[in-house]
Amino acid sequence: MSRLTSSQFDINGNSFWRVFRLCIVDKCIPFTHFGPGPGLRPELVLLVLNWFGKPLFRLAVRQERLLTQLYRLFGKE
Amino acid sequence: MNWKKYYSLEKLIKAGRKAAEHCDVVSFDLFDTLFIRRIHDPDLIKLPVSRYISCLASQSGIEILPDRVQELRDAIEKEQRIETGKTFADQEACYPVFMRRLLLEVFEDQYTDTILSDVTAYELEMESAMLVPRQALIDWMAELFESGKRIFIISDIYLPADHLKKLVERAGFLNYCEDLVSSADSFLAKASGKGFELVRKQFNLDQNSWLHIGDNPHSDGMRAAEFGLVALVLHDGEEKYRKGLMRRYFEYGERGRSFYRGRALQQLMLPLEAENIDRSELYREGYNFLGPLFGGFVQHIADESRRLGLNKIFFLSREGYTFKKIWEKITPSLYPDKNLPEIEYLYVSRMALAATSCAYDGLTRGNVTIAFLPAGNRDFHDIARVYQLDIDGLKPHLERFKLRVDTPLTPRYEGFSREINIHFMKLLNDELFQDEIRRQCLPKNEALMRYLDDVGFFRHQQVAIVDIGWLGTIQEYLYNAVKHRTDCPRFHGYLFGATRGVGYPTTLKKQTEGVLYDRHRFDFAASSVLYARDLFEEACRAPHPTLDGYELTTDGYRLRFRHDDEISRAEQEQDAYFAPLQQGIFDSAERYGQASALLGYKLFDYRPWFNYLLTAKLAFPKSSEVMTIRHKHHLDDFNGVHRTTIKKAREQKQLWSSSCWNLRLNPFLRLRYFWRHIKDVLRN
Repeated sequence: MSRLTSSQFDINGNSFWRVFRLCIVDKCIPFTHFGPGPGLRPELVLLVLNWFGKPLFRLAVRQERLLTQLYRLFGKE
Repeated sequence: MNWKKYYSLEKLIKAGRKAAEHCDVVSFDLFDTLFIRRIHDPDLIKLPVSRYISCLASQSGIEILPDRVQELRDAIEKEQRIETGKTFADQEACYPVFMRRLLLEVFEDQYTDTILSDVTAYELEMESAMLVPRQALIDWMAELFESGKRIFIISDIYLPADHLKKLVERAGFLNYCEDLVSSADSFLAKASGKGFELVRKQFNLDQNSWLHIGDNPHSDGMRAAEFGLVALVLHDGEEKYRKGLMRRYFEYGERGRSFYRGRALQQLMLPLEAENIDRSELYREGYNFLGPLFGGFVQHIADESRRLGLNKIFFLSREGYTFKKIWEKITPSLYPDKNLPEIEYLYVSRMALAATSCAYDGLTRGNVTIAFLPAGNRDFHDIARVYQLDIDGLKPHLERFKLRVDTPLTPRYEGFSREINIHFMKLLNDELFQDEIRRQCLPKNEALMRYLDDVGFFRHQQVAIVDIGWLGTIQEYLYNAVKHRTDCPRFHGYLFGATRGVGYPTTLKKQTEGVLYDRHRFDFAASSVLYARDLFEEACRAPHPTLDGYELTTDGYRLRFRHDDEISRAEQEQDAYFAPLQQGIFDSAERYGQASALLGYKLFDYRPWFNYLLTAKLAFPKSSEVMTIRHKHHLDDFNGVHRTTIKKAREQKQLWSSSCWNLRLNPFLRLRYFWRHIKDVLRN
């Protein structure tokens, strides 16, 4: 018995780590027709988010004002 | 200031309980407080509504793109907010007012209030589908209600209170609150603090004994505190994290990485809060793996039916049972304009249709090829079993061509020779033999005609025939059984996977498309379905026995089902085992429809992700997944009892039939089978 949504809000039984691993196989044996594919950068961003996102967001939410200022400074918003 | 920010729900509730001891009134914000949204951006709810308005307009002969509808809506809403801002402190909008203006602009003199109520109902339906009550807060709310506190919900939103009440009622906590107040009704919002004043006056409340809970530091925190309330503001990092993930999946998909479109779909389908309870492994596979695939398949059939203007879809038994149920669950959200064909479940089976297909053409070479596809079929006994022929009536014809009923007729078995093949081909060309075949099969065909007449099969010029796959034999048999009729409709066959092991002809009257996998379309990842075809069949099977045949009766026809024999009992055992898997598929269907309607994607968009799912789950499965979802019993009523040689049996071994220890301990097992699969697919 397990939940469908993991505590990281990932698909239980089909985590993003599994996606990442299979996409590496796809790069070695390019037969799998994953369209344009997941892309290395999105893959890494999502992998980091899936692994460390929860504590990162817990910290970030406390420093929201500072982060917003930084975003503005770097022209992200 | 008398307001405080909390970074976790548990801490907020703990502080809330303490504060509530000194308060008689507790008010809650609604969105992002009592409700969380599955989607990261609430404005995305507006997109399916724009598509719906565009479809309704198209039905009235007005061509307007969904994007244009959205632009108009935004402009009209903005206009109303500016107008409101001239009279009130808050720039609020009211949904019925701006939506009516929008619909009047789109439909002009064709506008009716029914259009407004239909659009409103759909928007609320979509909104409701994307909202999940935050369970811990609802539980606390119930506690407060039981302790006699006066509870109110106050929201700054464009939806009026009666609309919001519908959402809250569906979520099941309307009875806890005394009333619900929306800024859309009065244009007095929490953002200016006027909303609190309104509620105080309306319900004669004391602000010194009033606790307010919300998520907006300005409206729910600062303004509430200025008004004299005790305010607790939730700033939930976990919720921001969930939305951050959702946003990334969505945006990567939107920016051209179609791989993430299917992932975003699945993210939207995931159960949250109290929905996310412990489920069995089988249920999980049904919900997270098979459900989206079948949803995509059924959505494609609906899209094609609309494109081709089909009026009727027949879902063939027994897998069609699941597809029909999925259809019923996904179409209300995906196609709110209801411009869809009628659907019908058709009782058929290969065994039942095999005999009916020989009533006019006789036993063709094609029929013989199909009969000898399963390795267990060897001689005329097997042909007679498959086509439900009476051997005694055919023996004299066999003897005329020096054949016996047990003469091996396939090179797979010893004793077969070229000479036997020549005799057998001559037998198939013999008119007397074929007349006897036709004589025997005609009553079954007649019974089928009566059944098809009964379900209105011949009332349509073209019909869609939906089945799981794989060769398309059932569709071929059905077509051969009815093609002699002048009112035979045009067949649009849709298979979940088309392996096309037998090259059935495609004509103007009959064509078949493999939706997820088609051998005619090189798609290596999708060909992973070949790893475990039986799994899909077993997962979709209807809870009734297979059809054995059609029988004529004095007043019409009778459908004859398989008796309660050993095979039926094995099937029942398998069905009982797969019941949670099937439940997972059904439960995922409704969520699929809502999520796909919101995203506005088609099967084409989901295909890269579905290809990943098929490859990951079938070609590179975890050992536990194979052990959980591989079938225990699978009935192949076409297959005979003969055994082929040991060497050939070894060649037919599959990854999904490997032993548990082999799956667990052999590190190269999956790669080895994958390599073999690549070779097989390329060779074919």
